[in-house]
Amino acid sequence: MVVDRRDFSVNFLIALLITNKELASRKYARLRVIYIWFDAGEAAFMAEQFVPLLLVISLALIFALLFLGLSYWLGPKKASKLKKTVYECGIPVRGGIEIRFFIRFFLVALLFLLFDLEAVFIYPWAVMYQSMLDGGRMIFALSEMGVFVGILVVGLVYVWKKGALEWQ
Amino acid sequence: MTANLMAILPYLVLAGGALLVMLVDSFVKSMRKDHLSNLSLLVLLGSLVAQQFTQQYSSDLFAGLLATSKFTFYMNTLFVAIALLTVNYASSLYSRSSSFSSEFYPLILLATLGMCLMAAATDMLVLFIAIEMMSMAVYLMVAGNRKSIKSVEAGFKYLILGAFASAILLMGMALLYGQTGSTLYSSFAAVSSSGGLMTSLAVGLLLIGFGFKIAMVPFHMWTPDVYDGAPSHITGFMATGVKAAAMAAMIRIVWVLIPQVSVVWAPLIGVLAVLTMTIGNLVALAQSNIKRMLAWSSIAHAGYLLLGLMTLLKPTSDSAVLSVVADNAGGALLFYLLAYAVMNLGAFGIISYLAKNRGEEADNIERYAGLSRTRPLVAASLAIFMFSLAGIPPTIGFAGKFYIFEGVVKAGMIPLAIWGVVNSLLSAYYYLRIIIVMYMKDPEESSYKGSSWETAFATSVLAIISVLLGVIPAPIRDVAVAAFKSLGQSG
Repeated sequence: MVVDRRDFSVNFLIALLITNKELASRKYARLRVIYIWFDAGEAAFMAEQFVPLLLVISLALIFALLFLGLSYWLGPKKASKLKKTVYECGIPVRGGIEIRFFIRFFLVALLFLLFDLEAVFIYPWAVMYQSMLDGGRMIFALSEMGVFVGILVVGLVYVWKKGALEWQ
Repeated sequence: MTANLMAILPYLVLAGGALLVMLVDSFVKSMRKDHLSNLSLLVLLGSLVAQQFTQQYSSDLFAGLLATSKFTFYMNTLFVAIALLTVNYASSLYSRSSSFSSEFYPLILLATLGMCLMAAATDMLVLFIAIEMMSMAVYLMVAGNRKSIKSVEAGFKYLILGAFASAILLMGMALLYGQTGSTLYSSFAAVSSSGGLMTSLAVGLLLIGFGFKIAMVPFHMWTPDVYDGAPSHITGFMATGVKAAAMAAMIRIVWVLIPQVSVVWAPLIGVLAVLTMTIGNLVALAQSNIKRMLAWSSIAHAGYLLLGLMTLLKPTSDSAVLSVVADNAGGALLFYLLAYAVMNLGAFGIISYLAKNRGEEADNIERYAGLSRTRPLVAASLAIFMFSLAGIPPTIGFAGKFYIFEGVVKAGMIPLAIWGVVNSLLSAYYYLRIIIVMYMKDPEESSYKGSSWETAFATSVLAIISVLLGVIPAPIRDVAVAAFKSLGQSG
């Protein structure tokens, strides 16, 4: 097995993880075995620059669990009828929670999402527009966007004619 | 710019056609959807014609995003032919049953466009968009029989698992991009030749993503449910078109990334091909539902295809000899895609032909009893397709398997070839069972009876083609080899 810089950094990391106090030669042999296993995940350990990321993630996890656990452990738990009700923005609860939604809402939401998302694609074009004008490619720029908007219009016409916009 | 647009004219025809069909569908109200199916057929034919007229090949369209060559010509023709047949089956089915919707026609045009772009893409982003374009349309088509719970469930299942596979594929692409800073295939060949585990991981993820689409074992579990639940003509389209498109994209990637890919893929694909064949064939033995049986058989056929891909991955040390082997093996692979499309589309066409008017599927093998007496022509065609799928001469299935195994033997992997032949023998049992039911049993009250002459005509033509190309496969095979060779020249 070839020993290189990476080899040591990974071993160092493993040592850090299992909080081994010393790398005695006997233990080191075992770590080599672990390292071979870790070899498959080399991509993840490739550079030291990922170590801070790992630290941040584990710190976040530790703190989140710590404070959640503390408040669960230390906090008083006195259940009352009012506390057990569904939270409705602070106002008194009215009616059940299993409300039926009209299916049209979903259709409208879906259509909104579709056209809204596609409008996002116009932004990069708008950003590039001035430079395309400077390059004397106005017709290209306009026809490109024309095709895109044209496809959107066809979609809108289709939705319209199929009756998806009618509220009945 | 104009040259670029001219070169992609066949794709533009498909895209424009899909929009046109959508518009016509929304403006013309009619219960029978004949006008839509006729328009779709026209669009598909128009795309074929456009392809004939724009045979100016270029490897550098739109700054290297797309490449057209004899390879794309071959694959596009295959995809459009598959779509033509599917539209043919659909039009007769939809005029009989009201439980299908007219969205099918624009969707199949878009799916075909996605497939064509998959074969032409030389950039990871274009490839991904093409895959999604195809997949989204196919998810919807699978759920096309809205009144059938099975169909909707199949569509949902395929959507969830397909999205998962797409995410894995995208991760592989992202890792490749992370190494090279470019999504162009050509840049991968230049920069990542050093190999390394990151590259291995990336191409491994790509293999998973594609493996899902071609129904490779361990990523095959969705196949029987989805193939069974989808309307038969859609199943035929998926089994042939989607599989061929994913295979085309794989071949292109293999061809660009051979040094990087072969380290990971060659041993993996060897094992997976054997597993895919064996599991597919073994489980197919136990099926009593013809669509599930054909689903498992399509898994087994994915195994044969992987075997063909395996021969391409042989490390090229002795370039002069091996390039000839590779050309032949690649040609065999492309020929097999065609052969599989002919025989499988034929089989699914007949299942779709026998479907009841209420959108019920003709999937119970027992109820094929006596088909030889009630519908002799259809029974004979189905028998030919079954012989062909089993790989019995003189059919196109035999020729396809012969070329694949020939390539495997020439590449020096004789045990794999033997295992492939053993698997073919195994598969003969369940294919021949259908022939026995059709020919040796008397017709019963519950036996299926078809009614549409268009589908019967189309499947008869396919049966004739599978025998004809089984007897004289060489011309088409030469075309396939030339198509594969063109990958090295311009793309």
